[in-house]
Amino acid sequence: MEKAMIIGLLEKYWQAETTIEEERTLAAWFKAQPPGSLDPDLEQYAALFAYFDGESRVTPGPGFESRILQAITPVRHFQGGLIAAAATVLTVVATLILTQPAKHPTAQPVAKTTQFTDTYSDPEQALAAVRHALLIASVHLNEGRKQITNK
Amino acid sequence: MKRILYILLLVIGTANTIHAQDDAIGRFFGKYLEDPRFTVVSVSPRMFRLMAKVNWDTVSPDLKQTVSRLQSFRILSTDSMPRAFYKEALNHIDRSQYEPLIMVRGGSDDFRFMIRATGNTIHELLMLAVDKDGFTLMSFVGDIDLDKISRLAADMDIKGLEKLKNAKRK
Amino acid sequence: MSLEVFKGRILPMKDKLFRFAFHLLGDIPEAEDAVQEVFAGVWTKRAEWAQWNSIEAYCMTATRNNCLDRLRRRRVPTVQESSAHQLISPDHDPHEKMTSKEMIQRIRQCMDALPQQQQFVIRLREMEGFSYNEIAEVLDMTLDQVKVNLFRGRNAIRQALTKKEQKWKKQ
Repeated sequence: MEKAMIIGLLEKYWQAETTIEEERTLAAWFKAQPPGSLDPDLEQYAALFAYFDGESRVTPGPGFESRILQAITPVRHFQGGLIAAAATVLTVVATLILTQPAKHPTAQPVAKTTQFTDTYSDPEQALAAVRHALLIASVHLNEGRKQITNK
Repeated sequence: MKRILYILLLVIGTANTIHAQDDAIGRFFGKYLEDPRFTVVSVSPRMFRLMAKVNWDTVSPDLKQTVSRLQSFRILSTDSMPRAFYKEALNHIDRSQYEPLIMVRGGSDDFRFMIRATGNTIHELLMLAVDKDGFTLMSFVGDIDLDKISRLAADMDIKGLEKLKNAKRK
Repeated sequence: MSLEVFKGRILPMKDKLFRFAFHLLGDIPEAEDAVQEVFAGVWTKRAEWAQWNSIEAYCMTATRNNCLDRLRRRRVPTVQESSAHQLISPDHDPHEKMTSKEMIQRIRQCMDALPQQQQFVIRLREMEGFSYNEIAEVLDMTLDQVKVNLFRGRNAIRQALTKKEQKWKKQ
């Protein structure tokens, strides 16, 4: 009985005549069928609805909200976004520098530390960080310029 | 594991830049680079050269041009004693080299931009921001175009969005 | 003041905008980037919020434009519609049961081969449950165009899934 209704709905579905409710009914019905219990042709449609369901569950990575807020209030939310990826690399580097026995004890520590030690070893990550920082600078530059023109 | 860490140190050691930054801001960075109260991000000229080989396909022209003209980048950020560090950073800035560009004072937060320029060419852009929760210092070194950077956040298709202003409510 | 409005009314849209961007771009980090840029831009324009009839509509449109811009800059050319069902390899024996993983892979291939407009409409309808009206507004199409794209897209997928069986039956 139910199956006949589903087949009817499917026909409407291919005609793009179904309502959102009817589409939800179809998806729910297919999801509820135990795997392997359907005829081969219906089984394909089960896969189709499963695919749609899977794709709808995509989520952004961690720190997403942080990064958004960071662009607007960099000070308050800095720790959570841009820096997150860098944190682990940084710890490794810092440890090494601290435990490495001093080769030139007479050398000025300042000269060593003002040289660049890259936070990221992957250029893609470095690019992402620079882009994000530029966005932050851009938002604030715009804000600053607006304030000037409003005087 | 130890070998990997050792190699990492060698790579970093040999990758250090030719020009050590002895300017005031460089000293400020150097002073707090290993201070646990600070979070530091550093992108070297060598890394910028590597970045030029990354896939730029979907990046806007303004962004592409902006990044390709940068040489180095650093951020220093802390949530300890923000106001004190903000003041210290400002004191470290050599006024004969850096000129103020913009300063915005809110009720509880400030931010300012400073630039190092010769004639009309800007070589470095500094942004300092502080509020009760923290202090951040950003430095972009390279051939800086402020208009291009401004456009990055405001870059939107004006045509498509115009009609939304007068669209009827549905 | 603006920050409260932003956090209370605009920021909550982030997941919806992200999924929308993802459906257009097909890449998680890129979709995140697009949404970040949109929010940065919306914040920059906060003096105009009061003039907008719907902040949500503005955000969706800005996201769409940002994504379309990115897609235009991509070097990879789009595949033509007619080859959508030809992409499925004919080597598989239909009497052998396809694993659901294989079926989903097929569907994915078929989706990727669809013309852009059909893909977008299908994604917004099937994965986000947008009404025809919402799809029309957000993709800047007429209702008829939405329905036609949905019809064609669904049937292209159906053909791609069932074509093999028909082919074997003829033998």
